[in-house]
Parts: sequence; C-alpha cells; structure tokens
Amino acid sequence: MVATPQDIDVRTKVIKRNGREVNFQIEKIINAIAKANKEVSELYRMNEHQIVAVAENVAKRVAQATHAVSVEDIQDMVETGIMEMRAYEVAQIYVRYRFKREISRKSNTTDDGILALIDQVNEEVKQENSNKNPVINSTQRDYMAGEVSKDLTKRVLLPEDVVKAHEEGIIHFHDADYFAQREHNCDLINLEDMLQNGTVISETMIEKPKSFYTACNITTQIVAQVASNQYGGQSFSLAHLAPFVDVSRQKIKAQVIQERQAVGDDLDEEKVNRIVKARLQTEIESGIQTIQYQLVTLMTTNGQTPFVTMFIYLDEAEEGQTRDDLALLAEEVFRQRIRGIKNEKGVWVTPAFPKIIYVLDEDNVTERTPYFELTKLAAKCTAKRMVPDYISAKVMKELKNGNVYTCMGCRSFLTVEDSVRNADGSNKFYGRFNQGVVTINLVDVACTSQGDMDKFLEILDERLELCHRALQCRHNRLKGTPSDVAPILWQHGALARLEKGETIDKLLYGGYSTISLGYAGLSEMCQRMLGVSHTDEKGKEFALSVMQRLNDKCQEWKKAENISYSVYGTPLESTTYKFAKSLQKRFGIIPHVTDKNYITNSYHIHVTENIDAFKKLKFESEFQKLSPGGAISYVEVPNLQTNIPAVLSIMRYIYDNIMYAELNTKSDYCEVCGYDGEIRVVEEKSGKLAWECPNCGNKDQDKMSVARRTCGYIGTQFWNQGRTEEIKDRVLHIATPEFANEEMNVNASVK
Amino acid sequence: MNFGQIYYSDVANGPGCRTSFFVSGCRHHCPGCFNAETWNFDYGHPYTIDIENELVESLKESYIDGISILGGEPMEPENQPYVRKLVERIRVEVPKSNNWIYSGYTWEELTDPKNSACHTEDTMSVLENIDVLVDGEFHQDERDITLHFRGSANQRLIDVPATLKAGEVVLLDI
Repeated sequence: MVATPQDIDVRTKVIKRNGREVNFQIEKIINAIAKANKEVSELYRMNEHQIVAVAENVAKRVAQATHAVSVEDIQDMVETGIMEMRAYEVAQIYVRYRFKREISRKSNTTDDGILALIDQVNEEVKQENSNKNPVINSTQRDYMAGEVSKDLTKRVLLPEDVVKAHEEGIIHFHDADYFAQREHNCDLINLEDMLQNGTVISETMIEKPKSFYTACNITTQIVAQVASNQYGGQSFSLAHLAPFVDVSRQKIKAQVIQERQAVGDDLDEEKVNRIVKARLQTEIESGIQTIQYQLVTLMTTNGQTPFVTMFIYLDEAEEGQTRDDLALLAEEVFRQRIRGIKNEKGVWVTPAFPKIIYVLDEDNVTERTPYFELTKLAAKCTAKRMVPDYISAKVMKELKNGNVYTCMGCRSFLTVEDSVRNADGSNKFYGRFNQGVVTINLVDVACTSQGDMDKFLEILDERLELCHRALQCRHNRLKGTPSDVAPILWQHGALARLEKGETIDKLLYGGYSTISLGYAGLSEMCQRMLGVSHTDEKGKEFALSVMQRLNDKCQEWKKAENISYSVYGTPLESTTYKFAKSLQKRFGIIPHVTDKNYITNSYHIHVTENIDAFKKLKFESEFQKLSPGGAISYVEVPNLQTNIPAVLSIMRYIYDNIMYAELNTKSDYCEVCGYDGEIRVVEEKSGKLAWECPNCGNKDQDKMSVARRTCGYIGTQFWNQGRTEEIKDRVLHIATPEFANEEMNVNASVK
Repeated sequence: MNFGQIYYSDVANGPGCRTSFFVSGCRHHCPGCFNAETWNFDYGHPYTIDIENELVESLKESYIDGISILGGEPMEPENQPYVRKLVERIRVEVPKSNNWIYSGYTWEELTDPKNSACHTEDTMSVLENIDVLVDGEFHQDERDITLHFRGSANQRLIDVPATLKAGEVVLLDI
C-alpha cells in the first residue's frame, strides 16, 4: 500500500458483536475495503487514496462519537463511504460479504457471547447490572443461561416485528435473559400466611415458629428461595414478624419463672419483667441482625443477593402490644442500619439490601405524635445510609382507595382491585405479583412524528399496540405454567397455595397479578414536540394528556382481556444508553432531545433542570398519580448527617405532597483520615474521573467507601467511567453555598 | 447595602432548610476566606424593598425553618440598619422563623458600647430579634470541615435569647 492514512486519534472504543470492547484500528477498515475492491474488475476499482479517504472519514466519525460504537455502525459508515466515492460495484461486494458473514454467525448465535463472558471481556454484560459481579463463577452460570435465553427469545419465542422494534430501541422487551423460562417479575410475599400457617422449603415442612429469632431465620430462607425463582424484586412486611415478639416474650417469661423457682428465688413481678425485657431485647437484636447479614451474604441462583425490600408500616400491626413491638423492631432495624455492615477490610459500610421503606403517617410525622422518635431515627438512618425511602399514608390513601401498601422490590406497585380480597373483605396485596414489563420509548414517537401532533398520536397508538402484543407474549409465556416450577411460590404460600400439577392460570387474570406498560422520556418527548420542558404549562398539559392516553389504553386492554395492565415508570438501567444511542442513530443530534447519552426515566424532570427539592416533589406528584403501576421520585441532596431537621422537613413535605419518594443523600467514609461525609468525583489531568476525599485528598478506592443509588437500588462497588460521569453530572435539589461557583446549585437566585 | 447571593433552600448554614442571604462588605479579610469577592461593599446587587419582601415571603413556606444572614459581614456598621429592619420585620411577620447571623465580630465586641468598629445604635435591636449568632473570624489553622455549621473551631454557636437573659454567653445546645 502506497497511501498511508493520516494519524487520527481515536479514543472511542469499538464494541464487537460478542460484546468485547476493543480499540479502533483503521487498518482493519482499509483491509476490508481493499478485499472487496480486489474482487471487482479493474475498471470499477477504487484507487488507494480513495480507500484511505473512506477509512479516514470513518475514523473521524468514530472519534467524534460520544459513546462506544458497534461494529454494525462502522460497517454502515463504510458502506456509505464507498457509495459516496461512487464505487457501487465495490459497495455491492462489500455488502454481500457482510451478509454472508452474518449468515454464518447466525448458525451459532451464542458461542461468542458466552466465551467472552467466561473470559471476562464482555463489556455489555459487565455494564448491564451494577448489582452483579460477572467475575464470579455462579454469576457467570446465570449469565450463560441468560445468553441462551436471550437467543431463544429473539430467534424463536417472539414475533419478528417485536424483536425488530426492540433492537431498534423503539420499545424495550425487558428481562429477555429470563424469558425462556416460566418466571414472573416481582411480588409481595405473603409472609404472614407462611409463618402463621406453615410452609414447605425444599420439601421440608416448616411449622409456625415458636420464637422471634426462628421467625427471622425462616424469613431469610423464604426470601432466598423466592429470589431464586423469579427475576424481579420482592417485598416483605416487618409487621408480619411483629406477633412473634410476644411469642418470645411469653416463652422467655415462662423460662425465667421456672429458673427462679428452681433455685428458690422470689417471683417479684417487676424483677421478672426486667429480666424478660433484657433477654427479649437480646433476641430482637440477634433476629434483626440475622435478617440483615443473611440477606446481604446470600447468593441466589440469579447470581446476586436477593433484591428485597423490607416494609415498615406501624398501622399494619394491631394497636397496642403488637404495634409497639413493631416499633421496637423498626427501631432495631434503623439502629443496625445506621451502624452499617463490615466489609472485608472491617470497615462499617452501607449495605445495599434489604431496601427499607418507612410509612409516614399522622401518628409519626410531627412532633408530639406517639412514634415521632422513631421517625427521627429513620431520618438519621436516611442521612447516613440513604434508606429508608418514604411512603406517605396520607397521599397513598387518596390515590389507592384508602389503602396503604408497599411496592414490589423497588417501585412496581400493584393496583387496587375490587375483585381481589382477603377473607375479612379488605383489599388483598400480599401474595400478588407482576407478570413483567415492556417499555415504550416516547422520545422515538416524538422524533418519528417530526413534531406533527396528529402524526404523533397516530404513531403513539401504533406503538402502544406493539407493546400490547409484546405484553401478551409475556402473559402467554406464563400461561399454562404448572405450580410445580416453583413450589415455594405457587404451592406453599409465598404467592398462593395451589395444588401440585395445577396451573397458575387463574392468578394471571381478574386482577390478581398485574402486567406493566413502561414508559420513558416524557421530558425529551415534550422538548421535541413543543420545544419546552414538561415543567412549562404547555408542556405539562401535553405530558399529562400522553400519560392519560397510556392509562386509557391499559383500561381498554384490561376490559377486553381481564388482565390487569397498568402504567409503569420504568427504572431504565443500561436501556437508557441503548435508547439514547438508537435515537442518535435514527435522528441525529437534536438539542435537548437526543444530545445526551441517556434519556430521562419515566416522568422525571431532566437532571440538568433548575428546580428545588420541594417544587420537584410537588410537580412530580401529579405524574405519579398517572403511574399506577409504579414510579418513584427522588431528590438529590448533599451530606445531611449534621442537619437532621432538614431531612425531617423534606420528609414532612413528602407526607403532605407525594405518595412515594426517596432522598439521595451522600455519606461516604475515608479510611485514611476518618472523614465521614461526601467524597466527590474529580477529573484528573488525563481526563480520567477519580474519587477524592475532600478532607485529606485520598484517591485510593481501596481506602474509601462510597455508596450511590445507581439504578433502583444502592450500589457500593465502584462504577465504570460512563456511570461515574453521570454521577458527577447530578445536580443538587438543595443548595450548598460552599459549591456556589461550581454550578451545582440549581436554586441559586440572583436578581 | 449590596448583596451577593440568596439561596432558597440551604441546608449548610443552620438546622433545617433555610433561606440564606449573603450581604456584601467585610473588613475582616480572613486568610482562606471562601467568599473573598464579597469583601467589597459594592459587590453584587443593590438590596431593594422588593428583595426584602421576597426574603420575608420565602420564610412563610412550611418547609423553611428560618433565615441565615451571612456575608460579607452583616454586622459592619453600614449594613446594620438594613439587617435590623429585616430581622424586625421577620419577627413580626413570620414568628416561626428561626434567625441566624454569621459575624466575624465576637459577641463581646458587638455588645461593647465603646467598640465603634461594630457597635452601633442598631446592634442590640438586631441581636434581640435573632436566635443564634455564629461569632468570630475564620481561622484557617483551625479549619475543620467536620464541624457543624461553622468553618473553624474558634467560632461559637451562641444561643442569643439565653445569652441576653443570662448576661453571659450561652452556647447553643445542638
């Protein structure tokens, strides 16, 4: 080769088909074109300079890309480049060659992906789920199964148009890595029924526990079993454990009396009660500790710790002794969480699980209410460990026909169904579940319609129908599932007590379970259609009307099929990047619409928009109302450990204004100097992002602990550069003048 | 009087969510000051009645616990008449508001009638209408970012009503 390409600095990585990330190599492109070039007769050949020019253009475009580029993308660029040189014959050969390679690849579709996975070079998988560590053997087994499931889903189980829409980022068919098996998404486990009436774990009968400690132990066993039989999160209620406190109390009391009688001590009631109280406290501590430690150390067959939420709602326990006992348990949960758990180096850190939800109610939210002290402890816990998250009993009762209940795992909510009731006539929630999710990319609808309102509605309806069919595939996949696939769920009380061999079909209809129509990018959708954010009056009206449309559709489908469709604010993880990338590919860069590497989750206000915590919560609450299948609002706040009254102010505001919200607090720990506050991301001279202690300047990640909410749950391992950048970009919804010059303050006002 | 900045939900300069108000002008010139541009009395924007109204109005929100007046130096003699009018208004119009002032002058200096650097005819009225005075200059060698609501260890959080009542400095119990 005489012509040599100019030196183009391409830092962008290339993602190969097997998910492996490699450096861009211009020679490979030159060789591929040259190979095709040789096959055409001399008359139609390109000269060397033309070939190099095409390759250089591709290199420049790749260098400018803001994210890693796939091999497919590069081949598209090469094809266009050859055409631009008018070398149509060469282009034809090149395309034919590409097509042939594709066919040969199709014959074994999973080998590459699986091998890359085992060699730990599959970047796609590495970045997919921040709670899974793909280095570990058991996690790799889960991922291998996932690769096979994804492959079957694409080639065999789903209709072609659904697969195509999924791959183009028009919709997202979630959890394809589990779709081959007959598994559902998430649920509220009926712990009360299992503990009170007994259950069976691995063919072993488990009777009603005779002490609080045993009840805690059984609970963790149940959680582990349940997590291994579904792919989504689960929630259990602490109230279901509360009655066992008194079981232990009575048991301990009998023992104390017996012991004192045996050695001839008196049975003075006050003395006896004092001893009982102390021993009971020890048992409560051990029980709660068992739950905490077992749940973070368990590894399910999904290759991760169980995604589990502990729900704390005082009114769920009967007023009097049981409710006070529940408050005792909650206090212990918060105390232990504030302390944290020890990591392998012996440093107390923030555990990711169980997530905790605490219900704010009239008996605990203001000073001088009976359980206000507990609420203060919850506030301290949130400042230190990010949880609990908060549900407002007041707002929830308004939205959910007077009911208060937890979400399943992180944010999926069941709907209130008149036909699904407990024996006492109240609405039933525990034991119910969600069948799965398909998400519509609203930004793509807006971009495809090019801002034309009539077209928008037409395309929206078309795409919703596509989601509908995809959801039906999910539903049909579960239909006919025998209860035997997961006895703990379907036969022994976690979700139902069906007979052996019976199908779960009756639980898929009539509102017992829900199925979710997810949505994403309301913010960017408004920008594309109206040129304004949905916080603008005009934008809000439009955004609400779209949300209403989604709800109307769900109602229509529900009525026709007796399946409980509901609208869900999807927590996009890696999908946010996938959607953003597809949008850029299809529509180019449109300011405020496709100019980021992510699109905004659900109804959330864009992360760069200036709004304070209170206005944000108030505004988003209107949208939460229209997201009955689930959603959560968050506010980003600085380290608040030294300002608990501020946490309480925000909590009271949540109680008055929004059903479900969380605070993203910052409480990190530097092992070098003992600093306990926010450790921040700084950009090093090389452009690399690093974490740095603001007190002593320590940058050694092995000597600090940092916790951030990165998806629905908390992550405590360090993140890849892309995610770290997103964390760095997060703006605070509360002011800290210290950072006034760094544009971190969204509500600074200078008139 | 001029001011540099107003934050409507500050959590770093006093308990709860607060309005914080940074006035301009300061003669302390502490080494290591994080706000040196505010030493100039002409820094920022003119303080008008509209701004005053807006400050008072912001405190009426249920989730705002109070105001923190910082600077610059709110207790420079030139600034005191404006600060006095502001805190007096707040006391009457928003009695629930918890009011803090950050000053480089100490309690003893401010309450000393012979100290013309900072004691004026307005000083005692200012103090009578606030809850907490964070006093003292910023000492770089005593800088400690783990302290609550202050920059260096020499600075004190003074419970003003209790101090006035007792006739000697009473620290805030926090």
